[in-house]
Amino acid sequence: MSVLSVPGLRTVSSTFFTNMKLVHIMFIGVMTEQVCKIQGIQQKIPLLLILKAAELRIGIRMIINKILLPVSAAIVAAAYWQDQQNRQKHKKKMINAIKRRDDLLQTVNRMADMLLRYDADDFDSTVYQCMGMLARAIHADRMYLYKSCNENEDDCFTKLYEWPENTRLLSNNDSDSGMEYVENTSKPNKTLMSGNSIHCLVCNMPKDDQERYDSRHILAVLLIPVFVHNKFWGYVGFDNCHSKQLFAKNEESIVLSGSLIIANAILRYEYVNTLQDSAVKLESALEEARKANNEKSDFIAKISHEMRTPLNAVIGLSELTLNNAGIDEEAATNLDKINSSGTLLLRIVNDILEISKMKSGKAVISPDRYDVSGMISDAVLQNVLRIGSKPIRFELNIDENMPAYLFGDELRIRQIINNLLSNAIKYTEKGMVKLELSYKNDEDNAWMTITVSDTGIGIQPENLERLFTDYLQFGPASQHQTDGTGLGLAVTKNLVELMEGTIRADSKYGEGSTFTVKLPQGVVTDKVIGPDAALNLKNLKYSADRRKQKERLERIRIPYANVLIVDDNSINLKVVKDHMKPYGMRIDCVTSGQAAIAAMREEKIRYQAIFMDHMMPEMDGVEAVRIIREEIGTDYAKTIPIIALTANAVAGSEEMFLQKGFQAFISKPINLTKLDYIINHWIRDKMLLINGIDVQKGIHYSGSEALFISLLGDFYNLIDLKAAKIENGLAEGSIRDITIEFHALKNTAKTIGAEKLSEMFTRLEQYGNTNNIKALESELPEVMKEYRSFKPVLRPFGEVEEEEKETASETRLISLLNKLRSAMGNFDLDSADQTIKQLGRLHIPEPCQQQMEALKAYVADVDTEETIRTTGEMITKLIELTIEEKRGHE
Amino acid sequence: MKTILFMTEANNYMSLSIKERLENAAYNVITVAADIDAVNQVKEPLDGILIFANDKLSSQQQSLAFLKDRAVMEDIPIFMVGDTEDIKTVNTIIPKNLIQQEFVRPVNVNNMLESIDNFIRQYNIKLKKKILVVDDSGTELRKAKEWLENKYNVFLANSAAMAIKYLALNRPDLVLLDYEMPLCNGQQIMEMIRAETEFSDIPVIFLTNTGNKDVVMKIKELKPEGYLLKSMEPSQIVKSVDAYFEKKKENEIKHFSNSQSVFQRR
Repeated sequence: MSVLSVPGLRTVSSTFFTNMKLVHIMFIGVMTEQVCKIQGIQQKIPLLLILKAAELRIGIRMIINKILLPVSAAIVAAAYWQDQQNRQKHKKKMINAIKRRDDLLQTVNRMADMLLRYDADDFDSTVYQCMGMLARAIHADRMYLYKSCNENEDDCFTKLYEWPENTRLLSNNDSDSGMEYVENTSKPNKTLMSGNSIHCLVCNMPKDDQERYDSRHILAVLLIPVFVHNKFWGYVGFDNCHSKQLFAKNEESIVLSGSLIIANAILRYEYVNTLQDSAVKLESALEEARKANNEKSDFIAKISHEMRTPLNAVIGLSELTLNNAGIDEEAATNLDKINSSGTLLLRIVNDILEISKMKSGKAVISPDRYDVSGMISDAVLQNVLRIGSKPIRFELNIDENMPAYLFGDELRIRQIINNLLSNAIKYTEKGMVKLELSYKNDEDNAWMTITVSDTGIGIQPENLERLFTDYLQFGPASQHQTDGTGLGLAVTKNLVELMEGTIRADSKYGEGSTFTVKLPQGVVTDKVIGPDAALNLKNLKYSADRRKQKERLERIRIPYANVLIVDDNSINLKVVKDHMKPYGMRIDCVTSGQAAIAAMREEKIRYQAIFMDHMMPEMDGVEAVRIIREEIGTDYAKTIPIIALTANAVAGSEEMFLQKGFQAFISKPINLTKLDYIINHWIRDKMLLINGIDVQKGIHYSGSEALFISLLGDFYNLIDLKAAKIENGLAEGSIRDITIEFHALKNTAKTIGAEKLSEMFTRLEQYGNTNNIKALESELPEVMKEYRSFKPVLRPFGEVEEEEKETASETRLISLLNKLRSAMGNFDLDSADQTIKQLGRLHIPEPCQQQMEALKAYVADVDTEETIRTTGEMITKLIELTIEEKRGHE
Repeated sequence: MKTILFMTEANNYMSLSIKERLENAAYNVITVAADIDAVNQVKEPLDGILIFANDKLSSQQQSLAFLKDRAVMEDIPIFMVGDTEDIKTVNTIIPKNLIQQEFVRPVNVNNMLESIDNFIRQYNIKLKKKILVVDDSGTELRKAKEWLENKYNVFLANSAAMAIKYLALNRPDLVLLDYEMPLCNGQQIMEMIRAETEFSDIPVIFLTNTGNKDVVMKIKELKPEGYLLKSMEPSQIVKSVDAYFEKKKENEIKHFSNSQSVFQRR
């Protein structure tokens, strides 16, 4: 019994024991003990009472009965009540605490929810809200979030958020806040950085720190560090300014998680932003890279185009000159070298173009039906010459079950074979080069296998892998001769893949190599090449014949045709013009689209075709064609064949040109066979009827082509004169005279093949013979119109253009006129014709121009009398002019 | 149009210059190297042959010989230009007497050509038969000239007046006369010709558009040597003219041989 250890109570109890019953004493003792137990402080009271009672020597019974017992009872009751109160209070407290914790948890929950669902725009306000929610939940007055930044090796902090929102987000170090706040207190810094939170009352802080907080009326502080990837990132802090409240341990952990949730949300947000930024930067970098790549491709294409133009001149002109008979051998050899160098250079340029096109994804396959054996022999022919003097045997094996025709891109396949063969030949000094073609059908695709094998130097295993990358050539430096750029295999591989085929290389170094290409081709026929053709190909017989066929190009002259060439480059113009010279056509050249359009508008000369350069600086070919087709309005402009000259041709451009209003295209350097075809098809065949002149008939009736041409010129020169004569004649009523003219013109028109016109004049002659003036008057205008319509068509045959005319002195003119006069007088028509031609090339002074025109007509008509008369008049006139001039000088 | 065969191995300025000037003087120039096949291929009738002698050419004996033979057979005048030495070398194949004119370099091209031209004209005049064609249409005249001038010298008159003028100064071997001329028609011209004793025996062949019987009868009354339809093919017309001259020649020979035999018998 502990109670009994209290000294006073011992004394008292010894007194009582003598007068009390044991039970009473026990009762008191127990009571006292109970009371003491419950009310620690108040244990003194019953003792005092008992002591007092002892002092007063009041009877125990009375004390017990009247005072002590009730008092004890009261005390016990009070103590019990107090106890209950306390329990209640405690319970309430606990409930409150639980509630608070619950609230806290809910707040944190809600916060987490909000933070998970935030809208990017609203992020800041969301954060503030959450901070507010959390702070309020723990009755903090302020909550803030600082991020550590290591500048100059001093730790400093940037305040990212603070609630309440009296300041917006500050990104820079803010002087009034945590920078000094923590900077000068190393303790929180270190503690924080070691992962512990700081949680204390201000009054418990070291003195100097206290000041800081005191000035801001902060009473309690909670700082929680935030770690990212085990690295210190910053901290979250709460200030309590209104009560010295410390959070309970379990609350602290919730607060901790809440703060960390906010911190992490902020982190996540930052990350997202960073990611987005990076994404944007990547995107723009990618864009730039793409742009640069495109620029590069455009640059390459442009450069190649530029290079093709002078190459065109080199190749074209050397070829043309080589075709001239009568150059000496040395010159011919040199020209040949120039030509082959030019051709090689062109091939390199083309290779570059191909690669750049394939890399930029612009290369397209243009499949068509093609003749398999023809393709093979072309490809082989191109290459057998390369063997030259090397002791190499060439073998060609072709499966006789190969179809005669297939559907695929012939040009490209030939390119592939070409590349492989030229490599094989190049890298083989002696032995054999073999080309094999086989065929396998699977369902609707035919697989063509092309194998090129050689006994050359082979390829080392480590080089085999890099074989198809660009720009590499293997082998000793001596091998890197003229042929090829090393681009060949890269182009080949790209081509094969473009056609959805496969290519592979096998080789044994020092012994030889084999390249195998498999290409899917479309099936178009069941007919196979057959054993004969296969055998022929094997012996290169078929190819030899074809080659002979191709060499002889017979050009048919078309001297009655007029052609316009449009190209801004004068060298190109010359090359094209030279190519067309053998046809004897009249060729006009202009250097711009505008000039071509003007010529089409004026219709001074009617052209049978226009050859137009596709790309020109001021106005390009396509635009010019569009204007000609759409804006001039005449049928002539709408239907005249326009052929594109292009340096950029690639198989497949045909449709593009057709869509843009061209009828055909021909690429530079000009292929003579193609040009011949185009000229025959678009000019000669279409020219059988020019403006109603049946050329064939005209030549026939005239007797010869040369005469036909010359008669066209005469016809032209007579039009004005005769038409005027007829119209005046009708007005004056000289029917007989004009009937004579009709008769003559009827015959002349027939002679030059103008059947329709001839019939018209026949009718007029009949009217004239029957004196049918009414019919004459009504039909003459139409006939005259038709007659005059021949002027623009026939102009080039009878007229020299002003620009081409030369100036001459009056003396010279007079001398020529005299010559003409005496020639005609002597019945020397040849001299007369020649002289009037010479006169036609000279500028005639204005007063004599009309007479000149008439003179041409008279000579055309072999009218000696009129010629003599007119020349006489003109000479007189010219002498007058000379005298006037002399007078003028004086 | 007169045609000249220009044989040259050199492709130098002078050759080209010669060629150009010949063409300007209304000659049709056919250039060949000294190659027998090339020479063989030239089928056109030639008015002259010009040889540009240089050392290369001199070695081409065969083609030179070939050319010589042709010139002799067809009566074509040969001209030569070159250095003294080269000319000498060519002379071993083509003797001097067959060469009408030799021009030693350095030579004035214009003068040379003028000389050649003059010679050829005169030569032609001497050798070829003269035909006068009369028609009022310039086109018809030119056509006739074109068809006939390979073999003949052709002169054109587009009216009766000009025809008479020509006849006054020249004696053609044949007149081709358009029957249907408007102003002064063929008939009248014919009468005029027959009227003059000087011209009366000049042979005349009518050209006519119509095959009309009446017209034909009328024509025949005038006793022309014949008549030709204008609608005939050009080659036909030429053949008819050739035939006329052939027949004439035969008659002359017959006549001559008759007289000869008369002599012989004596």
